[in-house]
Amino acid sequence: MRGLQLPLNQTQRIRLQRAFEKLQSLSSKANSDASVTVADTIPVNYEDAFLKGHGTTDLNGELVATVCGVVERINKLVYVRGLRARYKPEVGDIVVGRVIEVAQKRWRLEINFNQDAVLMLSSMNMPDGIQRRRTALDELNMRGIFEENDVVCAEVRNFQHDGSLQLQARSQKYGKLEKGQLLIIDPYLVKKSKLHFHHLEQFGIDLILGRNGFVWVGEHVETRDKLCRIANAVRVLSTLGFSMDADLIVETVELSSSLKIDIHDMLGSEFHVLVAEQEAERRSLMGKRRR
Amino acid sequence: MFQLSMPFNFPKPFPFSCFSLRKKSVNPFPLNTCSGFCCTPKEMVGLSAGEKHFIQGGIAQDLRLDGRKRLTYRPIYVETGIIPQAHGSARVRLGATDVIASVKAELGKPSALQPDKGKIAIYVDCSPTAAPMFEGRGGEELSTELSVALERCLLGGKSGAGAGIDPTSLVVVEGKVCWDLYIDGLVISSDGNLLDALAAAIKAALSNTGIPKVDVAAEATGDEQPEVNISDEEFLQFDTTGIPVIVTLTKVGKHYIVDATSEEESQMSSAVSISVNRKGHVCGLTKRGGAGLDPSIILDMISVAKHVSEQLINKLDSEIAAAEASEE
Repeated sequence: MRGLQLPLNQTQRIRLQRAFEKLQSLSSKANSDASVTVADTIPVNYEDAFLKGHGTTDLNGELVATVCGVVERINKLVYVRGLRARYKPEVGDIVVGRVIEVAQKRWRLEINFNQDAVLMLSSMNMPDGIQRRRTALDELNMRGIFEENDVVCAEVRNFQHDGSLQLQARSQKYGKLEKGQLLIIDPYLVKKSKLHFHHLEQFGIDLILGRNGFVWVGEHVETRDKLCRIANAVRVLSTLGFSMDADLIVETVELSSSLKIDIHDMLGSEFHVLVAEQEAERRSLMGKRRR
Repeated sequence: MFQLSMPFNFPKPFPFSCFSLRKKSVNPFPLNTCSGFCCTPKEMVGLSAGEKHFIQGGIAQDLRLDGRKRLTYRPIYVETGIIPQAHGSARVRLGATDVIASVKAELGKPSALQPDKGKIAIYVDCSPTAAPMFEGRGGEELSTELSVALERCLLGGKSGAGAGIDPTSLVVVEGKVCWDLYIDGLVISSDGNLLDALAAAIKAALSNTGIPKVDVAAEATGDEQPEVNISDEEFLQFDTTGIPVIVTLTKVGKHYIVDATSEEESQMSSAVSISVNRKGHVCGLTKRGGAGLDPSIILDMISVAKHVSEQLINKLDSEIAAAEASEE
């Protein structure tokens, strides 16, 4: 199936398989069997001019994949996008990172990238809110703002010449994240969207979907059980491999509350199967509505 | 840098020479450490002050990070018979913690001090795939600690009294020939609570073990070794109802939790692992962690462990039975 390591009994296995088959048939891609493994030939019309992108190579006149992944075609560019790869940053992405080091006039953050990201002191708002030059005293008080192991939300500012990232946290919504849990999921599950900060009023919870696969679930008021439900919903969706979306997460939580499922049982096999079935239903309804 | 309060360290390569993998549906040795649950084990990554506070607050309110109560275990997943070369084997998954146990039996000579008992040895190895710090000799201290704790809980005292596994059932010819059991444990992925998972895996592996039947050829006199025929067909199953399970209670703040994840373990002050059998008898006790404990707390922990172990033994037995049934 998908190598899901869940203790499923026979009926659950069948139901899950049916739900996944339904989802696959509803997939909008024209050639949904576009997944390739290393050394597979990529079906391309050789008469058209095309550009060979990442993950491909020319072998004996044929275009062959060099990584395991999905073939993507954008205009004339053909490339293979590897699954479960490290995060591929773009300028303007919202990321959540953990401070590893407090260095001279900067913080180094870990963001599930092949290098540590850098957050300069000058890219950070001062606690007093005044726009001013950073003095030596500010530099000595850096630990008062962020310490080691703090969880920070920031935006990608640009790439430096050696390929590492520079971040900025200039607006009020960025900064240190407290009172909550950090979940680590695969980066490819978080797609670029208009909104990455979600404040779910009905639960009183902040949900930040970092594009690097770090998801922060934080609370405003004392709402621990809702927070655990949302965190478990993120875990379930990630195990099943569905893309992260705030609406989807909220729907999953509502499904669990409506069925009166215990918070801990959300991580059991039965709930995984139910979520897969619900997603298949939802997508087929969406497809019908479009036609 | 963030300091963990437990003395866990690193191992050496696993002596895997005689085992091979059965190529059935599930690959028992996945290369990545993440086993289905999305979150990667965070034991070596630090936690911010806010997160630590959140974990401790959750435990105090009886609502942990994944919604469990203080005395709830994660779902246990058991597979048996995964290593066909061994006489018995099992793999146990407890959340993201993944361990394998295997049992190998060889004919040997019993010791002169105890001629009517066979010998059992338990050895645990932490694979480098579990954590980067286990590379090379990194996990050695942790492996020794786990092996010693398991031996203490399962093998009883020096005279063999109080053992979970009865060594007198392993003798073939008294004083001359006996079975030597080598129980090996391998930690593939570590997300806390290794001791409980290993004990469960050993119990499952022993349920799965078939000791070949031995026919003694002729009556040998004096110091001669009797001839033995090892049967290829008939196997004797172990009686595993007497084998205890280990319940580890981790003290965080004023409360104890069962089955801690590695983040929760990083916040512990101390942990007590108590091995309880089906009759409710305590078979072994190990305390880890730097903080001292009042004796009344230890007594309270023992009673909590006895209460939790009833459910755990029943759950484990049903999972083992299901695994054996699905294996056939």
